[in-house]
Amino acid sequence: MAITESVTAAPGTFPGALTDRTFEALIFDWDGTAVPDRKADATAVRSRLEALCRAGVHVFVVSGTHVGNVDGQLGARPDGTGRLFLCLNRGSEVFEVQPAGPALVYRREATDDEEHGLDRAAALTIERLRAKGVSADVVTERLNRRKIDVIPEPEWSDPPKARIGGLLDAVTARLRAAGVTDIGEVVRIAAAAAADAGLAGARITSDVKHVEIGLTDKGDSARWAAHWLASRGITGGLVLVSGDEFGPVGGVVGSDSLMVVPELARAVVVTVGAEPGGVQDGIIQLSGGPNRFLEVLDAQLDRRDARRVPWMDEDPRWVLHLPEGAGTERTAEALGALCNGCAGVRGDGGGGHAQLFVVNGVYSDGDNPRLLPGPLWTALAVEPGQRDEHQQVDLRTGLLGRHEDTGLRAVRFVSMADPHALGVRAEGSAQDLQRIDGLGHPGAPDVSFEHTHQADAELARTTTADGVGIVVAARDREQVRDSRRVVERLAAWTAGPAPDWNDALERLSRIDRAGFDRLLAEHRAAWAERWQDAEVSIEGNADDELAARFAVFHLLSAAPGEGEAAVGARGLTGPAYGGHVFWDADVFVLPALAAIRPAAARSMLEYRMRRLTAARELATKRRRSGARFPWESAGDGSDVTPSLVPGRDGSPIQVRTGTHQVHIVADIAWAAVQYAAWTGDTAFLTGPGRDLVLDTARYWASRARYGPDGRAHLYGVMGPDEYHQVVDDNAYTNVMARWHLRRAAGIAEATGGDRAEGAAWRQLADALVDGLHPARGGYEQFAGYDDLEPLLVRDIAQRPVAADLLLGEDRLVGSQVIKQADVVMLHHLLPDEVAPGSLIADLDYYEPRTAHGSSLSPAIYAAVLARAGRPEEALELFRVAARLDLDDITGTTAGGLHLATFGGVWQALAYGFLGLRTHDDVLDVDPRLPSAWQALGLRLRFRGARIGVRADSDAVAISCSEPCFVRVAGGDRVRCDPPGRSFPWGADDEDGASRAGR
Amino acid sequence: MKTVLAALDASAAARPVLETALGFARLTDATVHAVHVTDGPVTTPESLATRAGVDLRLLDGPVDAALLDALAGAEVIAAVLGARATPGGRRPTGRHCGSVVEQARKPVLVVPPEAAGEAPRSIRRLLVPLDGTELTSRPVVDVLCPLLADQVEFLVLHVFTRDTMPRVLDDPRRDLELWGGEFLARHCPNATEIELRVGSVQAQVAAVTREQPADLIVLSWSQDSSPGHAAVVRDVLADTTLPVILLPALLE
Repeated sequence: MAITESVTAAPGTFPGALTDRTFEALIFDWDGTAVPDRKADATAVRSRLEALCRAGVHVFVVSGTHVGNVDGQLGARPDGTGRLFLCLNRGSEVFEVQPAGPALVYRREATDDEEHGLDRAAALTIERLRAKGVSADVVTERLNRRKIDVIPEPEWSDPPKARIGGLLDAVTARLRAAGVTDIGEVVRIAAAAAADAGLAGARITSDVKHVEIGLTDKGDSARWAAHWLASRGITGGLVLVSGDEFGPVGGVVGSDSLMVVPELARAVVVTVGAEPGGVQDGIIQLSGGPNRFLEVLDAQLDRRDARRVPWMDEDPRWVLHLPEGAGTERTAEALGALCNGCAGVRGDGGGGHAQLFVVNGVYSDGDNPRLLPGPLWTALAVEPGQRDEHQQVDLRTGLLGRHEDTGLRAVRFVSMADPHALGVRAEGSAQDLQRIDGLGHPGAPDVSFEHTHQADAELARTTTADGVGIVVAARDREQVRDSRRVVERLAAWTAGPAPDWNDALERLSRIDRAGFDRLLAEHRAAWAERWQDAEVSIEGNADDELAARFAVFHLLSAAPGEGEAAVGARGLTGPAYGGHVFWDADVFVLPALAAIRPAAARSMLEYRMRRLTAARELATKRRRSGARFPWESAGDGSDVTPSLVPGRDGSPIQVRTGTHQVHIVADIAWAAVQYAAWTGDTAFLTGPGRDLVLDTARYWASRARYGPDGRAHLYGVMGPDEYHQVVDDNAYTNVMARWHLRRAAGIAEATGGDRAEGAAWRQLADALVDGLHPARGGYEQFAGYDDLEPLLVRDIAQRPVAADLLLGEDRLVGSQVIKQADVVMLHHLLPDEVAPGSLIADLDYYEPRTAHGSSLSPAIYAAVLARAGRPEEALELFRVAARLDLDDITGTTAGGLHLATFGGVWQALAYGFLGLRTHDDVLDVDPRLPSAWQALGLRLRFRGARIGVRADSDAVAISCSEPCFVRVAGGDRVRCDPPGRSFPWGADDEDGASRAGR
Repeated sequence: MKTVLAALDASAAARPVLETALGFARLTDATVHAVHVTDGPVTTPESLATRAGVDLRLLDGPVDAALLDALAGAEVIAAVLGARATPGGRRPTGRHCGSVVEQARKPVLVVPPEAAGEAPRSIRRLLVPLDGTELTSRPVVDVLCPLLADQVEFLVLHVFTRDTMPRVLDDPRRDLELWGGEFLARHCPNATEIELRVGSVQAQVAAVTREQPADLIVLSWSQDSSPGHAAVVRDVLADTTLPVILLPALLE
C-alpha cells in the first residue's frame, strides 16, 4: 500500500494521494461503489469512464455478477486508447468492452472434478447448517461457484446495499437463534466443507445474505488486471483500487479487500462505503458512496484535462535516486541518461552542465571522430536560485523524473516504442516554471548549429563539415490554470548525411498526432516487453538487485533491434571515448544482449559485418590477409585508434593498443558464435556471418609465425592486460586464435569452402603455443611472464587500484602485476578450450596479481570465481562492478556509463552465479550463490524460447514458453515443457545446498 | 573600499612584500595600505611606501597583535607579510609571520625575500594544489575567488598519493583527462587547467613551479602547525621563491 495508515477525508476534499497522482488504471467494485445498486441509472459513471478511456486510462470493473447485468447497466462503449474490462463472475471471467460490445477475453474453466467439488461443498455446507438448525438453500449455480442463501426470507430477498446494517442484524439474529455465532462462522463451515469436498484453495466469500463457495474471487480479477497492466508497464503505484467493502462485516472480511493483492503493491486504495467495521491500514476512507466515487473520477479527468505530469511508480526495487549536491551534477547527468538504442539524452544534473543528445552511429568527421552532439531539447527555464531538486530514474519504464519542494515536477522519455520520439512534460507554479527552453546549441565549437521555425514547430540542426547531422523538431504546449503552468514538448529527431528539416517535421507530425499520453503509454509498454526477457531478481539484497537492474536497463538501452548498432565504450550516455567501438562491445555487451535481446545483438554484429571491407583494408595495410578489425572504430569502420598522444612535456607518446591488441579479431568471431549459441540461429554462421568468422580467421593464418621450435607463435601482441604492452604468445590471444581457426575451419568445411585452407587452419591451430605450464597446472600469460618480479598487488594496495600510477611504468612492466583478467578472461570466454583443472590454478595464481585497474576486470573475476565455487569472493568483485558507476568508483562516470561493465555484470550473474552455459540445444545451469542472496533469478531467451531461471536454497526452477533442454548441476539432459519445472536439491544434497548459498 | 595590508619591516623582504601587495591589490581591485610596527627606525618602510605612493601607517604594540588587529579591519581583505628577513633562512617563516598566519581569519600572502621583482608584481597565474577535500577547495572557491576582480589563470595541481590513487584507469590518457575535468568541476570550477602528479605534494609543487610559469601559490590550511600538521605549507614556504597565499579553512 502507498499509505501506511488509513486516512479519512472530509466530504468535498481528497487526500494528497488521490489528487497529486495521475492514475493510469482504475480497478473498482461495481455494485455499491460505482452505482448504488444494480437497477440504478449508470449514465453518470458511464460518461466519466468513457472520457477516462479516451484519455488513455485503463478501467477494470469488478463484480460478482455476470456480463449481462453489468454491461446492461453500464452500457459504456469506449473508443479511446484506454481499455475497458469487465472482470465478472467473481473473478472467473473477463470481458473487454469494445465498440461492438463486450467480448470474452478470459474465462476460468472448471474441471469436472471441480464442478463436483463445488456441488459437494455446497451440499455439505447446507447439511451442516441444517444440523445446527439453520435452513439455507443453494440459490444459484453461477460460473465456478455455488451461492447459498443464509436468510431465505421474503423481506430480505433482494436487499439494497444501503440496508447492509439491517441485513447484518437480521442474519446475525437468525444465526444466533440456532447457536451459530455470526456469518463468519458460516464462512468457516463452508470452508471446511470445501476442504472436505476436495476443493483445494476454494474461495469463500460472503455479502452477509449469501455465502459463496467458488474457485475464484475478486482477488483473481485484481490479479488478472495487475498482470495485464504489468505487461504494459503499469504497476501498483499507477493504479487506483476502489470499493465500498474493505472492512470486515459481521466477522467476514470485506469482499473488496480481496482486490488488494500483492501484485498491486503501492496502489492507492479508496473506499466510498460506510465501512461500519472500519478499514485496514493503508486504505483511504472517503465514504459518500457512488457520488463520492464520481468525484474521484472527476478529479482524475481534471488532471488529464490539465495535462498534469504523469506519475512514476516509486517502487524501491526499480527506482534509482540520482546523486544530489554540488559537484555531482555531471555524474547525475550520466546516471540519468535515457537511451533507446538509437538515441540517447543525458539527465538534467541540476540546470545542465554537460548535457548531450546523441544518435547511435552518427559521428563527427575528421581523424578523431566522436559522437556528434545534437540539438539540446530538454532544458527547463525556471526561476534562478538555489533549488532543492530530486531526480530519479524508473528503470522499469525508462522515465527520468524530477521533483522539487517548490512543486515543480517533470518527467521525460526517449521512446522505446518509437525510436524517433522524445517527450518532456513539466508543471510548476507559473512564476517559477517559465517554459521549456528553445532547442539549444550543444556547445561544441566545431559543430555548426542552425535554428529555424516552420509550421508551428521549432527546428534545430547540428552538422559536421561533411554534412552529417542531427535534426530535432519540437512542438511545445503550455497551459496555465490556477497559477500552475504545465509545459509539454514532443520532439522528433532524424540524423545521417544531410538530414532534412522536412523529415523531422514529418516525424514530428506523426508523433504529435499520437500525443504525449499515448506515446508515454507505448513507451511504458515497450519497456515492459523488454524486461519480460531480461528481468533480474536478487532476493536478499535490494542494493545488489537495483544495481543489477541498472546494468541491465542500460544494456537494453544500448542497441536498437534492427539495422546496425555501434555500441561505444560509454554507449549513448556521455562524450567519453567519443563513442568509439572497442572489443568491449563484442565480448562484454553482445553476449548479454544475445540472451536478453537477441535482435539488438544481431544489430551489433551487423555493425561489424558492414565494416568487413574496412577490416580487410586494414589487414592489407598491415600486410596481412583476411580481415583485421581495428581496436577502435567509429562510423566507417576505419582504424581511429590514436597512434600518438602528447606526453606531459608535449612530446609524442606512442599508443600501441591499435597496433598490437589484435585479439579483437578473434573476439568478434567469438561474439558471433555466442549470438548463434544463445539464439539457435546457427544459419547465421553459415550464412550472413560466415565471412565475418572466416575472413578474420585468415588474418590469424597470416599473422602467426612458425618458430625454430616448430611451433606457431604470435609475436608482438598485447593481451587484455595493457600493463604489458608488447609481448609474445599472449595466452589469451593465442588460445582465442586457436579456437577461432578451428571454428572457422568447421564452418568452411560445412559450407563447401576451401578444404585445403580449412586443413591449414587446423594445422596452424594445433601448432600454436598456448602457454600451458604443466608443472603449475595453468597458463603463463605470455612468454617470459613467470620470470618477472613476483609482485602481488593484493599485498601492496587496496584494490581496485590503477597500478600504473601506483608503481610507475618502469616498475610495472618488470613485474607480474596485471591490469585485468587476461588468462582468467580466457577461462571465462572459452572454458572448454582450456586444460581441465587449470581454472583453479590460474585463479589462485593471477587473482593476487590483478590490480583490477580496468573497469572490465571485476565482473569477469566475479563470474569465474563463482564458477570456481568461491561465490563469496565473487560477490565482493560483483559489487565493485555493479556499483562502478553508481558510486563513481572510477571518478569518470561523468563522461558516461561503462557499458561493458554492465555486460560483465550480467555475465557474472548468468555465467557465474547461475552457472549458465549453452551447449548446442542444452542450457547448462549450475548455480553458485553467495550466502547474502536467498535467490537469484534471470529471464532470458534461449533458442527462441522465453526462459526463466531461478535458483534458491531449495531448488533450481526453470520456466519456459516452449520446450527446451536443460542440464542442472551437471546432471542429465532434461526436457522442460511449458510452463517449466523445478529441480529440487535433495535434503542430503550438500553440494546442491552449497551451490545455492545454503 | 577594499584594502590590502602590506606589512613592511626594515628587512630585505619589505620590497617584495610591497610589490606583491600592489600586484594582489590590482588583481582584487583594492588599495594597498602599508603598515609598520614601530620597533626601531622606519626609514626603509617609509621610503618604500613613498616611492610606491602608498599610505604608511605606523602601528604600536607587539608585532603579532598589531598586525592581526589591523587585518581585522572591515575593509581589509588580505595581508601581505614577508616570510622571513633574509634569503636562505632555514625556517620557512619568521616568528611573527608564523604567528600571524596561524591566527589570521583572512588570507595572508607570505612573500619570501627571494621573490623580489617588479612593482606591482604581476599575478596572472595561480598554482593551486588541491587534495580533493573541502578543506582545501572551499577556501579557494568561497574566499579567494570572490575577491578576484581581474582575469587570472588557475593551474590546479592534484597529487595522487598511495592512499588517493585512482582505482580504475581504462585508458590512462583519456580517463585522467576526464578525471581531471571532473575534479576541476567539483573542486575549482574557475580553473581550466589541471596537473595530475604522483608522489609527495611538496615535491610536486616544487617540480611544477620549476616546469611551468606561476606567480602565486595558493594553499588552504587549517592553521595548525603543530607537529604532524601543515607539512605541505611548511615545506612549500621553505622551498619556494614565489609568494604563497594562505587561506584559512574556516569551514564552520
